Amino acid sequence: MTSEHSAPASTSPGDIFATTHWTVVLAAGKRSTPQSDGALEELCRTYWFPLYAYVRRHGHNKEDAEDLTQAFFARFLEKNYLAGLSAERGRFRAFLLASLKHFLINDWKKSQRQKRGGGEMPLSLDWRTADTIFHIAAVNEPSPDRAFDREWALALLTKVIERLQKECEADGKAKLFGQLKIFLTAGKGELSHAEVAKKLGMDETAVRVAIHRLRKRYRELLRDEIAQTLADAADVDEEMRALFGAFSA
Amino acid sequence: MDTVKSNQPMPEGSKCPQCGTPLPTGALAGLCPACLLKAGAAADTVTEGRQPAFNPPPVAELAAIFPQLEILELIGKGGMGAVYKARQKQLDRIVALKILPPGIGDDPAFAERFAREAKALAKLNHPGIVTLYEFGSSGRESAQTKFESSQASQSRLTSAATPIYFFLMEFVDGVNLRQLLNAGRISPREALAIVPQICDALQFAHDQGIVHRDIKPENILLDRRGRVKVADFGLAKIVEGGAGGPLPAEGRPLEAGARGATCPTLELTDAGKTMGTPNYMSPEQIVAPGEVDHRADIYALGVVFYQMLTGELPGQKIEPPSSKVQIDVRLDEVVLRALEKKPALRYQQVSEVKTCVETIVSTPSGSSRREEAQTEKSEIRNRKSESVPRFSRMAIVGVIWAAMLPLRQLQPLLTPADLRHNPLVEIFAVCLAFLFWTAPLGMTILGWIAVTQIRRSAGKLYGMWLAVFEGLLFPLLALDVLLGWLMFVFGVAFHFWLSGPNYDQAHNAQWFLATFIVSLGIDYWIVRVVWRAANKTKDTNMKKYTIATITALCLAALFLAANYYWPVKSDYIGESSFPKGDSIKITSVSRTKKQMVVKGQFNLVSADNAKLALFITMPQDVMVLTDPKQVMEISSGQGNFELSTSHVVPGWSHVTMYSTNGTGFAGVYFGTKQEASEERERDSGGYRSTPVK
Repeated sequence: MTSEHSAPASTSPGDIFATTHWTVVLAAGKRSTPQSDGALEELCRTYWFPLYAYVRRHGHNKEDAEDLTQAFFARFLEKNYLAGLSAERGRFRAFLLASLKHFLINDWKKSQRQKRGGGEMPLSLDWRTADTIFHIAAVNEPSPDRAFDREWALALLTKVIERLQKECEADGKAKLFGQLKIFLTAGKGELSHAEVAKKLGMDETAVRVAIHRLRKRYRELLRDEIAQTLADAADVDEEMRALFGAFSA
Repeated sequence: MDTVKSNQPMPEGSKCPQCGTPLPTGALAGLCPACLLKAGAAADTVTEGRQPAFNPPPVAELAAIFPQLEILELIGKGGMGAVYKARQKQLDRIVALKILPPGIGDDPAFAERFAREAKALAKLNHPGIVTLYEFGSSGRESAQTKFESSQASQSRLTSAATPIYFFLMEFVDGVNLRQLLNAGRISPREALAIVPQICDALQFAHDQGIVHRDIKPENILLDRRGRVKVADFGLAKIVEGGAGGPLPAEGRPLEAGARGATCPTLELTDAGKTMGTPNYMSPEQIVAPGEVDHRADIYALGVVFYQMLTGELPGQKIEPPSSKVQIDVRLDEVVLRALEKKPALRYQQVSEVKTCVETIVSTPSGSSRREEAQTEKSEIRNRKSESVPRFSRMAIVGVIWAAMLPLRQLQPLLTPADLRHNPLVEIFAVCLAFLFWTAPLGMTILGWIAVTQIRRSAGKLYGMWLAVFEGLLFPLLALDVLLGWLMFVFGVAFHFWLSGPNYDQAHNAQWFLATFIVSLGIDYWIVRVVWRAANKTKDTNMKKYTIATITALCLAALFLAANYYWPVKSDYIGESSFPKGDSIKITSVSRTKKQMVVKGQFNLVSADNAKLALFITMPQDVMVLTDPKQVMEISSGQGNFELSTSHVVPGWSHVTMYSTNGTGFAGVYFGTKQEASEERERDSGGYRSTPVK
């Protein structure tokens, strides 16, 4: 069953008391609070696919991978792993991967006994689509770790874009978002503003301003989402760099 | 809720036109993740939130650049560098790796500066200074450069293949003073334990000629055992070039208005270049950063000390720490003296600060209440006698020595007769004589020593006038004597006054007056020059005085020349007849104050041979033969004469005929009206002169 609430995340820049999901989880430690539970779930929900893909690449077939992923999450959500792995605590991504590796080495055998469908499933995950996406993506993968990072980045970006979209919809600017979305990645002068302006019934200057605002908001959301997975919000740039590094062949 | 929305799958193999990354499906349809991430990292020209000017490379990247190190973690970063904890694999020791931002190498002079300064720093081997093990530059190149070089508006991220300048330093396992200050005020006891250690470190560096220039709490580290280590020596000079100013604070900067400091904390940002908080900069460092010396460190130490004791930074009006916190009042003095605005008034050596602090620590005042401490203070003042301005002792000793001069002369008079042969008294007399003879030299030397002492004390000693007097008295006297001798020789050479048996008091007086005036002028000038030099005041009027003196000398020379050449009118030129029939007739006189040419005719009758010469009779009735070489031997009959002299002296001039045995029998006076009237009063010898008109 999914949980309704998610952990609060106040991340206004310069806020001394800024907390991210991950810092909340780390702060809670072994003694879980509803907040830390919610934060952890939120994180897991966002980033489960890279884990699944990793497990698949590890050589397991579809069914086994599903089992393992579920089992891992079950263990993980019991917070058994927070005690060790101190070096990776700064980043949730690294932590998750390290925990998964640990799990795959040590606990796989133990959890194999658990039958498919047995035990509680705290998260409902879309296995079907996961499989599809996995197949599409499984071409010329250099290393599982690299692929993990890549998928992680995709999951992150998806989350960010979705948030951005929701915000625009809430402001009644759904159509605007749909049209201007493409400008997020376009370089200067690559796409013509005139066409879009005509479609939206706005003048070019207004379009430019809207694009600028959208980009700015996107950046803020991106940084916020990345920060959610970090213990120190100042590491955002580094994390961004590392994620980008996963895409350079 | 599902995180992955089902969507129509995109055809396989579609790639981003910009970067070639395969395009994903789902919500990110049409958007390239790589480009999105790039876009996410780009910054607008307007800063969004707080972004550090320098993004330190991640651990993995550094590990590639420094293969001999195992990079453990990032321990600090700021605008001007990042510090990592690392392990030297071969030596198996923990070190600190500090890297400077890549843009720093753009300045061509930087590399040279870097090498030079770093070599000097590497020589600083002291337990209180963070030792520098290695330094240099390493190249770097990575995928990162592609990421960042393609940014449209990036100005802060790195560029491809730039060398990274690094330092490998001692790793200090502990905290820095800033962290301690942020945690809470340090107790005075702790502060007094920390400061002497800082002094040791600083003094060591100063002795090597290295000034830190950036002393602040962030640079003072304390290890787990409480030992102080000063870090980042001289780095400011390397980074900032000739104008070695302080570097920006690493780690979290102070929020404005923190701790109620009256001096606002400034952090000036300028497109990638950050200046540090100037709170620790000495005034001279702010005004002329390139010309500071080691005393700037003393000022910064004073600020840090103040902050440790009171928790605040000293404001415009510095309140003594003891008025804010319960501490020993004697510390006020130390802190305030270190915080003097003029470097000359501060402690001149850091070791002095340490000595003062240790003295205060080791001599407890009993209680730290102000009233009791006041008496303590005055006691210390009498003991140390450094804080109250006092008269220079050297100068006084000089005067006492000079007093030996008259004393020695008086001693025989003062000793009672019966004691005169007492061996003690005789010894005493010998000592006195010794002092007497050495007094001039001794007094002079002491005077000069006193001058330098008073100058160095910067206000603590006074009595410069006496010291200068002592230093100049005998030398000037000697100079005057020399001058007199010179004037004499000079005067004789130019016939200003006579030598030999004709020398008399008038000329004595002349010579003395001349010498007196000249020596007075020169002495005054010398005293003035020396006085100004001793007091180090910038006298822009020196030129004027020099010109005035030279003008005076020129005028004096002119005067003397005029004296020589000034024409004197002769009112009486005449002829005379004498009882025996001889006669002399003066036809022309050409005369200046010092020279005379007389022309005329004579007629010798009464004798076969005689002599004719020019004489001047002086007021004492001494007849002066003006020029023995011009004595004419005449025989009876008529003739012309032309006599001259350049030895005109005051008196009555006359041309006289006289016999070989010296008896004058005919002579004619000539001269001015004044001289004539004087002669008439005298009226001896019966010579008469006839007025011309």
